[in-house]
Amino acid sequence: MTPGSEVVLALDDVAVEYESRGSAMRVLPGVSLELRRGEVVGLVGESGSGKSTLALAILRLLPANGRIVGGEILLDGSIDLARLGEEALRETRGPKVAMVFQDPLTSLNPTFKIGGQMVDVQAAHTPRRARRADRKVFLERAISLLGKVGLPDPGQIVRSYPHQLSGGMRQRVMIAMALSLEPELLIADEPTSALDVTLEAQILALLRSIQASRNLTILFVTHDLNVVAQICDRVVVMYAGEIVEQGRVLDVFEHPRHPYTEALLEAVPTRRNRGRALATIPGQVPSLLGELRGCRFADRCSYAKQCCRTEMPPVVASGESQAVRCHMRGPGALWESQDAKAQQ
Amino acid sequence: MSTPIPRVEAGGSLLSILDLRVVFSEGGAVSRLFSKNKGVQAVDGVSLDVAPSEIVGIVGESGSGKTTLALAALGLTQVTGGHVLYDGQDITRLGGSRIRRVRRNAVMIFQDPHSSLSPRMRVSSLLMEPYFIHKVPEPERYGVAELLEMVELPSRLASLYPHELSGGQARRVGIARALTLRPRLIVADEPTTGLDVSAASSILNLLQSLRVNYGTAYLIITHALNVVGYLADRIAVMYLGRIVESGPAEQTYDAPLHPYTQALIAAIPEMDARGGKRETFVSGEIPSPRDPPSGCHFHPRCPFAVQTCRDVAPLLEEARPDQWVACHRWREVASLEQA
Amino acid sequence: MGAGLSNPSPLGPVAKASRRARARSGVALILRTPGGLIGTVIVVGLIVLAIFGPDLAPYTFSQIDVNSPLQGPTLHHLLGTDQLGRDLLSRLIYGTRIELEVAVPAVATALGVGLLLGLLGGYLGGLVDNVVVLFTDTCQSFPAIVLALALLTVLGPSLPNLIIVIAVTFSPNYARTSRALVLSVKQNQYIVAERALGAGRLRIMVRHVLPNIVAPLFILLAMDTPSAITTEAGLSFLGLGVPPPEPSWGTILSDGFNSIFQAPWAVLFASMALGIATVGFLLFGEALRDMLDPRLRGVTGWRA
Repeated sequence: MTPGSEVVLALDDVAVEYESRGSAMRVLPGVSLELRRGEVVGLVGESGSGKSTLALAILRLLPANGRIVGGEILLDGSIDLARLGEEALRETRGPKVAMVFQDPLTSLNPTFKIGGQMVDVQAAHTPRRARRADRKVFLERAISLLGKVGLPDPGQIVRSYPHQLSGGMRQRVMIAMALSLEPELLIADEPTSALDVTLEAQILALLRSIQASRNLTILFVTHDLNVVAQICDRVVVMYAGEIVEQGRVLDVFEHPRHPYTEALLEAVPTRRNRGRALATIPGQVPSLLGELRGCRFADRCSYAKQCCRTEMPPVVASGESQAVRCHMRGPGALWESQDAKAQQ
Repeated sequence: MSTPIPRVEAGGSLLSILDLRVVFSEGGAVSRLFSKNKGVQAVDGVSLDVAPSEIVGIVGESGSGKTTLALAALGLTQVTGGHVLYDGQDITRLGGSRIRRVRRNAVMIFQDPHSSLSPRMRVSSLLMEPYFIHKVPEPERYGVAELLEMVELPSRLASLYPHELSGGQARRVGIARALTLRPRLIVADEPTTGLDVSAASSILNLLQSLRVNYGTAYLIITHALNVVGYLADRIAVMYLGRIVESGPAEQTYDAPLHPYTQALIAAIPEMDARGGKRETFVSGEIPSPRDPPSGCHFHPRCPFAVQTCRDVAPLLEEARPDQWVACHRWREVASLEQA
Repeated sequence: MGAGLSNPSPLGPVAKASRRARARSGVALILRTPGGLIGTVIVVGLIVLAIFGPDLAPYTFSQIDVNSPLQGPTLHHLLGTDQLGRDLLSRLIYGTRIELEVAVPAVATALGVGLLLGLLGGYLGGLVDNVVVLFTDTCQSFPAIVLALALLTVLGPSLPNLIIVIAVTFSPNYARTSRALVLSVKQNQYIVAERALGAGRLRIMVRHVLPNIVAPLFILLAMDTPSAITTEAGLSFLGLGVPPPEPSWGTILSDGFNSIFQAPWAVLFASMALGIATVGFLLFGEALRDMLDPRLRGVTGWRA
């Protein structure tokens, strides 16, 4: 299904800080992002990029020392998740926005059976009066959902405890639970990183089919570029808390416009670069303590110029569909004219 | 263009694994008597060769027994049956000082970089320790700074403790430790798992350059087919303790014969999918090694399985020159694939 | 070829500085909590008293004054006198030295012996382990006092024997604890890594297992010292401890018991001394434990 133009989630200049021993670390200085209905957007970055922080911030699930200190998170154009009260927030988590995590074993309560947990999730979002009567209905819905996520014998599953299931089955249960309240946005934080390759392929196929049948919007957080290529329509590349490039998957992967994206793509080992040394990115992610001037990637960028270290680069349109944060791109920038010449 | 691989001499493998079996029994002697459970057959008759300067990749998912295989090959875990030969010498059940001599030449790099470094020792002590263990005289030793440079680490890391290093740095220290004795064989267990793309790529470059400069042979254990596809000369695919296919890396990658290998390759999310989403045709999950399926372990998930597959375990046969497969129906599978 | 890490890693100098800072803050942490502060003050005070006290005491411990027995606190005798007119304050001060002289070597020996047994049994396993476990189980099946009594009766009461006996009764606990620690450290991958490099069992035990298990054992040491003191006092109370006229707190207690209704001072102050010592060491030990786990896990490098 082609994504529509309606914006489901709009992040506007969202800033997040972590407090550690008295000093505050600004992990996200100000991130802006839009998710349209029916889109699958991949949020890609290495460790320290802030991608998980961003995903958790949307549902206000940051750890105790994390705070949203600026910006808006608009759901459906009207509800600002960043400023929502506790009660209203609870009503949003589940029915409107659901989340799936990396490790299903720690995300499921080990002391309750699957059926019970799935029923509880639904019951928690029903007015108290109706709860008891509806428990049967909830259970039937749970069984039906477990079947839809590809689990054989859902009747047995609901009677099982989490530790009795395999990793792949647990992840499917997580997905079923996330879907049980019919959310419009699903945030998946590295849902397949802990799974074997064949299992990962199955889960990705499952997510694709669910997305198609419900026109679900998915924000898929991962470090694996290949997975993004497999399942996402759009990709957002993060580095040290900033979005450095975003655009259609095919465009970004075939014609990356940001030096970091380019280096990342060149660094992945494949059959194709056998015998050649892989590209490496020298240096380390910069420390996020204190203020940083200029482009955060400048120290490691092989194209860096003086202006890169002193001024924060603007976000400009570049290439087929991309938006890039780089001094070298954009109308009038040196590279653009060279590329245009090369393409002629 | 491939980098030239220096070969020490043709023929004569460095490491020969012959019909290796590792069975972990559970519980004490009494429970073994009473239960019909024979234990976990982690490695079920694996044979493998690594030639000098060759890079062999063992690929498998969880439960395949690949890590156990690596540990057993180096004598670090019990061996229930079969033999391991190093340079022609049977090292299978060697102990004490004799295995120590082998350990100078065949070293291991472990999966979790931090937990494989003794937490109370500084990097410099960790690096020099192999020399004390093997009583290597001073002139034959690498210096600490030299070793750190070999793995591209700054020399000031020498005084740090393992927990003060990042994951990538700790892994490099592990590699440096392995290099101290100039080994001819390095067994690397998941060398890039858990690392960022950029850290992983420099590790792989490092391993590649070590092979070029020193002629080291590698046995690489991983679940990431793309790493093996990039680095290895030969691949062996493991499933539930058995090798189901082995052959030259490129050939096996391009034309896999075993349905499991095909599924693995098809399952890899590929960047060059060009918008075409791959369909996987293997369902289900890997069964527990405690209770493997009869006959061919893969038959419950195999789209080509027939009755024979349930009854008889297939043996490895040489389907094409130097490409071996353990499948009763590999000919049919191959022709179906081409159709 | 890839350039690798050419830029200075932010980890190096920061890690070193933070390591020093954490050590300093760890010590400061002990003093910051009320328990830690009190505990440290008491322990340090007792040690100072044991070393310097007897020289500064107003009287010697055996100075008899038949004219003023069983007196309460007065200007001449700040804590009163016992039935022989000996100054209680001086006797208690000297007793501090005796208590520590017995307790500390005893517990240290117990630690040493127990550690050795636990290390050998835990790491080597098999027959050695069975012997060690047999030993610890046997020793621990007797109540400590009973075992101590039996041994002392055989050996005869004297200061060195007392140390030996208390060490023997306490060592099974250290053996069991260190054995458990060894078993858990053995699971770690760095042990396998060392074997993979060809390290022999001795080297692994000494350089890789031992340093990683001593931290909790030292905490046990701090917590066990008051038990040793109390055990010694108990034995002295029963007359099997340090022979008179050396004033172990237990002896003071036992002497004072006979005249408890006329002059309870000896019993009172000796009990207080025991109580303060026990509380002090326990608080210190707990603060030590809190400091080592988990705050300074980074510094000590000990991973649970």
